[in-house]
Amino acid sequence: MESVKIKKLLDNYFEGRTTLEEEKILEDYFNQPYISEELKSYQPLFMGFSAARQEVFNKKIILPEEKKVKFINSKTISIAAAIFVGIGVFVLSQSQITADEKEALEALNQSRVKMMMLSEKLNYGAQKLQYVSEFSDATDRVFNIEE
Amino acid sequence: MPFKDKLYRIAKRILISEDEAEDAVQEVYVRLWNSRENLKTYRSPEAFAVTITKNYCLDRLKSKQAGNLKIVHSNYEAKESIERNIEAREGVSLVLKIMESLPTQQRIVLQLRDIEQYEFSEIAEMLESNETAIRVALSRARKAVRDEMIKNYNYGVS
Repeated sequence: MESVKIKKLLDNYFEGRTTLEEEKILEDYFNQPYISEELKSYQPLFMGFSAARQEVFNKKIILPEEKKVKFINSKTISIAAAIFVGIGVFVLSQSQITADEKEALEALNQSRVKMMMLSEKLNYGAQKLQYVSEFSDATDRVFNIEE
Repeated sequence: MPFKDKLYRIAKRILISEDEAEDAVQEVYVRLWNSRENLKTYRSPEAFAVTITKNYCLDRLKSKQAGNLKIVHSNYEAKESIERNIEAREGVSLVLKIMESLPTQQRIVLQLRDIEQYEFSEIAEMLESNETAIRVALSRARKAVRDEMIKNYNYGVS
């Protein structure tokens, strides 16, 4: 009985008119031991398909390394950036100076300015003194000639 | 890598050589990886992967023929898992041998339908063809394998 149904399916199969479900029925039929004698010659065909489907790819697939590195880089960069910002905030918070220190610094600056002014005036005075030495030079010369 | 086995089997069916099929799968995965952004836009990434595999293998085949290189046939070894009688096992390797002798296009269609079990609409998409053409090619391939097998079967009996 079943072989009649299978035969009909086989006819459709070779015409390319079977559905995947019908092809599954055919394959199951030929992968079991009770096959009608007249259909035996079709057995290797369907068993071959079942066997071929078992084949697997065992090698390792290597994907481009460069892209992976890029991925890691962006991660490390973000981590590094976070650490950097952390350090920056820490340093900034440390450099907040107290009011006392500010006053002292201002005083220091002021005194530095005053000192600069003083040394400038001193230099100016020293320059003027040169005229005095010039004057004594000149008088020396006059007296030397007269002698 | 969900469909690497399928891609491998398809590549092997087209290129016949195991080594070349392995290289092909590797290359196809690199290509898929490089276009992974576009991959999301495809309705079926699997169909797209099969198309890339098929095109790549056909290119390889073409350059091989152009280079006048011989196709290295690797003898198919039936898996140990199939514990049938020797006769059936010989028959199985015979089917795969016969498949190798089919025209490339028929071989691909037969592989995609009878081994990988894709719907006609999927195969049409993969091969950039239409369902009618696929059915015709499939019917021819199936009949060719059958006729070859009957020839062999009779030869073995007589």
